[in-house]
Amino acid sequence: MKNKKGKLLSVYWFAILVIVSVGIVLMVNTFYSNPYDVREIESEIISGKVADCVYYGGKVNSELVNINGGFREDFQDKFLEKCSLNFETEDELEKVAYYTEAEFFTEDDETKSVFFLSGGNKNWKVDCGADLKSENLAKCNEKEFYLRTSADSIYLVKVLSIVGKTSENVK
Amino acid sequence: MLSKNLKGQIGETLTWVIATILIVVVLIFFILGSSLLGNTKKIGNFHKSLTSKTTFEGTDAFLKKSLFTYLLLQSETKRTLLENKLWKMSVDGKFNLDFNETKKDLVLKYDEK
Repeated sequence: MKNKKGKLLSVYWFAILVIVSVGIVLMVNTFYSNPYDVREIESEIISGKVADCVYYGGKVNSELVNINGGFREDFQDKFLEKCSLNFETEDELEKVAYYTEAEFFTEDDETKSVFFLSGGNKNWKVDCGADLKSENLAKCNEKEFYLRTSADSIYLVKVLSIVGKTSENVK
Repeated sequence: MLSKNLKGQIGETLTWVIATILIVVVLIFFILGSSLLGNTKKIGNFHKSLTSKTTFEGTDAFLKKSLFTYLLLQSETKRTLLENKLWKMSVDGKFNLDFNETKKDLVLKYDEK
């Protein structure tokens, strides 16, 4: 009788051990299966890179402006390359997960841009204007600063950076 | 005698059953907790105490760029205009740093040069 009870208790403890082990495995799995969302930081870094590329240490990028102080259109064609940004993916079929743009406004009219630089996948821009808040939408970072050209004229530069990559950052 | 034995057995079984239920409930609670914590895994949204001025200096490259422009401007009228615009942006919460303090710091560094 006593022997039978002892066996039953052993089975019970074994069952508890299994339940607790499964519980711990589940806990670790649920915590670590969620990826870290780094899109906000990533978009901030891209914005910073673009801003530094355009204006650094109080000086406008010499390749961006011509001798007369105007913006060079050819800079736009090689914008990403000139700013050391590479948005290409290894898989050619995979869509580009990034987009960045810089709009230049004169000090007199801050509504109509006079020069525009952009690179990456423009389709992500739709996510920025969306009213609903969802983790599955791309993360947008909009910043602005004033730059001064050698002719002492001021421009407002609005930098927008978007990071898609939802599958890598959201479960 | 038999009744007493049965009562004892029921009591003992009940203790184990309740203990098992408690273990399972606590486990479920922790699993849910880890799942909730897992969803908050974000880099960038730091607690305010971690990013406060006393513990973290922080930076705002965009504000500093604008202030560089402000300092380098030669026309006084343009300077005042830009200062007003920057002040408005600061009120709108567009900067990560305090506008007046950052301006003071940069002006001091600029004057030293």
